[in-house]
Amino acid sequence: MDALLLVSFMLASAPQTTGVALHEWISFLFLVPFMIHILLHWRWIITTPLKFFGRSSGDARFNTLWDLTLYLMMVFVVLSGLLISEVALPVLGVAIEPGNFWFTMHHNCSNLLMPMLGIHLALHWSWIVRMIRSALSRQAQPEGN
Amino acid sequence: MERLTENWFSRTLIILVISCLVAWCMYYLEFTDWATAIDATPIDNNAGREGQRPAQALLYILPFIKEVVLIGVPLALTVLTKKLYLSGQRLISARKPAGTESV
Repeated sequence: MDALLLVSFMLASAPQTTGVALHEWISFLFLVPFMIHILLHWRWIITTPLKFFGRSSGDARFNTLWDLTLYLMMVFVVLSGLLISEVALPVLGVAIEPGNFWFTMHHNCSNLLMPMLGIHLALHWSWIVRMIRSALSRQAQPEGN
Repeated sequence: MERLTENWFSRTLIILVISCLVAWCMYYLEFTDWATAIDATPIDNNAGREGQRPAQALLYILPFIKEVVLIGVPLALTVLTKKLYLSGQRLISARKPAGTESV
């Protein structure tokens, strides 16, 4: 699911390749794996902020702050994307006058989102490697064992 | 799968409500002087718009290369920094004479 999220993010972040119309529809679809990602890591999201002010390492604190910033940035990019929508929202019957402010914010913040995502992946790198290894070992095992 | 389906509706509703509230607060940025100043300048970035899509096959791949670089470089640097930091910490704790750790 997380791999699907990354792939859909990369597809949604390339409007030069897909064109604006497809970019907007892919971005709408991206919200589904994004929501599933949050639901899958719900326990971590609930417990980590509770530990934030308690006895937790600096690493865990930085991780929590970074994930919160990434979430806020993601909400901001989605909001600015909706406010400059040229295809998807007009098709759904919502007419919007795109402003320069939201266009600039959407462009700059979506570019900023990529290195932020890179750091987010790096912070959870050991977990990602563990998941890939366990998936590969499950695949390597013959069926029925 | 259980982690996903357990109370999924209420949890999704909580995420949606929080996200909408946050977005609603962010929307008020439009009424700041900063936004007005940006709105006053003409739009000069038409990247990704219809009719201006790159003609060559390479130009279709370039946005993905940009993404791989923008995601991959900070990822690699952070992983490397973290590993260096952890190995440095291990080295320092290994050099400490026995008995000084508990003091």
